[in-house]
Amino acid sequence: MTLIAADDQADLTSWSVRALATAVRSGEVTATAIVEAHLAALDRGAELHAWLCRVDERARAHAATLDAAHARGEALGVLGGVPLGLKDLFVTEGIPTTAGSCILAGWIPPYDGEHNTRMRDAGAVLLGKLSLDEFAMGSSNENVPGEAVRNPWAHDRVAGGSSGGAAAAVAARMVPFALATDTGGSIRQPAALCGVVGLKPSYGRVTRAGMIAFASSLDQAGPITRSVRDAAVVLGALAGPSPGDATCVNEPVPDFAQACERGTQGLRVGVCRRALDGDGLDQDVRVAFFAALEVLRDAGVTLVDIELPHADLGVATYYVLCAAEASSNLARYDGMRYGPRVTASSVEASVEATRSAGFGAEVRRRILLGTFVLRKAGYEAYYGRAARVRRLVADDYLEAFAHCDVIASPTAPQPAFGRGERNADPLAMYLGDVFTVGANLAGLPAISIPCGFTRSGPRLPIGLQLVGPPWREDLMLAVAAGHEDATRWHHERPPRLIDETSPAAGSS
Amino acid sequence: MAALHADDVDALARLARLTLSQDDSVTFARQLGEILGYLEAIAAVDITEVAAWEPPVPSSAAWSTPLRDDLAVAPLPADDILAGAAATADGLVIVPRFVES
Amino acid sequence: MNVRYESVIGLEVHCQLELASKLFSPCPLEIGAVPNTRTDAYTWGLPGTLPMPNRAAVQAAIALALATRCTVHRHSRFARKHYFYPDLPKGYQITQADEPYATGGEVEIPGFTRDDGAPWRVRLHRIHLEEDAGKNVHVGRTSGVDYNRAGAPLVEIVSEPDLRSAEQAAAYMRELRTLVRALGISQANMEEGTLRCDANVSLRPVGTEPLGERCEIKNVNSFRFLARAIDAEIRRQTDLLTHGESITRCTLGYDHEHDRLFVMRTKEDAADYRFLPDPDLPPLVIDDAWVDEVRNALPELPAARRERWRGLGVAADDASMLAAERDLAEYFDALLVATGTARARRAANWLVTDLLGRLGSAPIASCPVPATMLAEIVTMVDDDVISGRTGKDVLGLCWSGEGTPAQLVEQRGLGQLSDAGPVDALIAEVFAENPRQLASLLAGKDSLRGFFVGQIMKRSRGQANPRLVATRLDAALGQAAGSTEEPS
Repeated sequence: MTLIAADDQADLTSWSVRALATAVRSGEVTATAIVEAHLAALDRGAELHAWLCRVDERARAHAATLDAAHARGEALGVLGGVPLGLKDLFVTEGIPTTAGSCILAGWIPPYDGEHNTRMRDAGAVLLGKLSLDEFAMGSSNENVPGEAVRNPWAHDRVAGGSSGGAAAAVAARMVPFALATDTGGSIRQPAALCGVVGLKPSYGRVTRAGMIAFASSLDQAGPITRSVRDAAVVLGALAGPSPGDATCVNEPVPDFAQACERGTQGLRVGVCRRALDGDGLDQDVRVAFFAALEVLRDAGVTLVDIELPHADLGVATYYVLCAAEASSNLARYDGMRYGPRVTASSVEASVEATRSAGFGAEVRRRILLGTFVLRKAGYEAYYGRAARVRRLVADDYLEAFAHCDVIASPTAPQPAFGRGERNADPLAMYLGDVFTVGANLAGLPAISIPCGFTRSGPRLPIGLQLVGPPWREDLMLAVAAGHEDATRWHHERPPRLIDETSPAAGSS
Repeated sequence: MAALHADDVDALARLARLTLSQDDSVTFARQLGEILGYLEAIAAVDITEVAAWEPPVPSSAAWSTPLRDDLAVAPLPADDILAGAAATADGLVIVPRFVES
Repeated sequence: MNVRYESVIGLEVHCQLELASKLFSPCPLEIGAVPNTRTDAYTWGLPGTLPMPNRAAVQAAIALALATRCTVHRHSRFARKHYFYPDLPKGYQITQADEPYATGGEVEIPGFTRDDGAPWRVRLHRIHLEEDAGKNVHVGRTSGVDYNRAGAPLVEIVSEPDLRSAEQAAAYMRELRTLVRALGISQANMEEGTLRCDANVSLRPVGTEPLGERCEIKNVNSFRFLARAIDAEIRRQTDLLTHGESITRCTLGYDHEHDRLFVMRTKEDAADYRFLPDPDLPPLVIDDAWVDEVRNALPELPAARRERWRGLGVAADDASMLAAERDLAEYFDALLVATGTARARRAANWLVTDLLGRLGSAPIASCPVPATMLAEIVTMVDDDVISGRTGKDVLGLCWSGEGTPAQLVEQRGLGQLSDAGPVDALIAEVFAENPRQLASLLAGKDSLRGFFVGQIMKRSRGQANPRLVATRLDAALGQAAGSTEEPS
């Protein structure tokens, strides 16, 4: 197995997480050289608008510290010298953290979230904070105060969301990996749309302490990488018990990297064919998905048909719950203790003005929806009901896992759509989450991996989603690694950024 | 049920401490009406005997809240934390006058 | 029309638990600290922070539930209660809504009985755990907020509407204070806000069952003001009803400076708190083993103490007073060990009248006279070794650190004259000095007997045993009568 494609040998920005960490440990390259190469990539890719904030000097200083430690013979962490970006939903002490919202403009956290701490402890070097849909609400990374993130494969297309910045940065070789969050598909969908790997762990596998909450019962942090094995390594460094999160389980962390080497022989992959019937599924996505199933079959898995009878209710259930929790989680943003404040004659007026100016349209829409479903008059019919329907949706998965080890589907029904295309129609945007929300509703691990490209129109990546049984990231990783070993989709790279800046590609 | 008027949206906005322009109220009323129409899908589901969902837990552990020991750690220095507030004086966060009565 | 009304009162009592850290974060807890010096990222409601419950808070809450005979639920849940207020950092308070950890239960109020003589019991609706909000300080046109108290652990004790008067409500509050102090879970100080109370008051015609429309009085900060505020509300409602008007549900504040209630909120703008089971907190599970462990570690409760002491003959008022504070109760029990329970009534009397009189409002912990010393005094007085008066003097000397009671009595010759000889000598002296009075007494003027007792006691500088003086005086008078008769 070669870790590095031969033609990419010279370019450190093409190396995998594992290759970089190995090279730093062996002394083949320095952390400083790696960081410099990636910072240059950030400069070249500026027009993707993937980054909200860069910390170049901090990163250089950190790299120098690591190199010095290495020179003294000290052991570096598993991610020693590997650059990363954090979705700007992770709290970073001393570094602006905005959740992509004006309401947190200029906020510099006085404490560090556990994710940033764990990555630093593992030796990873933070290059900056990545763009996202405001408070992770969106599927296109267009709900932003500034510029929407461009899809590296076609700049007039969205990068997906809400972790569009993270997916675009990894796809465009600005960082070998990023940490992102997934509430209804926010890691997997942009990973699919940008042609990279995105992994959402089981609910409770990774701490939420230090991650700005959107919908607490659905949120989970995970890696975006360019390979399944990289995702496994990063998840290993990220997962584990947390003193700061009561929903994070006190379980030892399995060897996820080892799980990738299990092989696919004898594993059963379930497919719910009914879910593919709707006319919302793009033809190229359908073709790529069935091709991926063939790849898996050739790799030794058994395909089985499964039913998810309540899958149709997933999106509706999801939007009731996530809006309810969001309206609650966002109640703290009143401009009184932190963040900008619009002053007014009374505190009530000041809070209203601050929130109205600080939150974008999609966030306000979800706060209103969440308020509606939590009111005394709406609670039983909406929130209370959705919490129960959620169990029906989740039980379908548990039932299905009696017959299979992993469930496969497309990650998104459509490839990357045009920027601005769905902004006026929030419901159409929500329906794009049809394949991803199930794993969040049921708390299951899920991964999106590249499985092909569109054949009509511009060449856009397509993602395959694999969902594992509760706490069985290992089964999911085994199948994903098997697919990766049998294909070369993950070696595909977006058109050289240099070409995209030429007048021909830049006209719009 | 799905039909939502601008007035309804304004009432929600008050509850959520948001002020909306008239245009926003109208647009949100229409969009939320459509969304609520879609959410009606869950209204028909038979949920008798169905309990609210709880996350699956590994092994045989119960889904229950962990408890921490009653140990205090150093508080955040007041200056550090007050530095983020829009207005402070004498160690207090200053907010506009609010009506308590 | 002359309808008589009965007041129906229920209390919602908030009590801050005395712990090292807050309910959901390891932030230190300290009353009266410099503003905003006892906060952390969670207390401040910073983005990305999550609650992690304090085991000791749950443990204290279990103890309270057991002490009030509540049912402790194995499964309970935290919920978010939403409202916007600058002192509420997250825009919601974490509390328990539909599923509190304890329900049922009852509290007996000392000093109140039902018509049939049974003790007055207030049923508890529920007890739950919740976090406190910060504190607002009004300064001119603006307000300042101190978040030190935000996140402090509270138990809320909600009673059924079983109270019938303002005094009863205040007595119930006092009993709760006694209870939580006895359990050692709270300072329960109304002035400092570690014990707070909202009162729901309604009226109904005497003899009827249905409850009238109620009004809630918020946050009264002393027992006295609580009683006054409730009385004011009873007067207000009585006035309205007797004038044929109806009661509108509302929330009231009490202005103690003017002894006046003011309306804070009416029913029309009643809040919609949008309760939500807190997704950050899985259910709180309290298993039987934990409940048993707490039950086994419960101290003797005030009601049980009072009953035990009453059984030893201690006066009811003394028993109530001594049981009110745990340290005091423990002092009294130590006193009883040293004096023996046969002297319980007198020991209690000494403690309440003499020692507490000297202590004033200071806590018993600061008392310079240990229980063993007071016991010596009580015992010596009881055994007639010294007189009661001398006992008080000895207590004063012990208080100033002059020595132990035994030493003092010995060294200063304070021992009581309990031998007949010296007393007889004193009597003879007094007789000799007052022949006319003696003659009058012997002639039947009995009122002069007190004069002679007083003279004898005075001459003994208070050390003569009064009972001995009485018997020897009788004997001496008998003799004197004989000797005066003889010559005639």
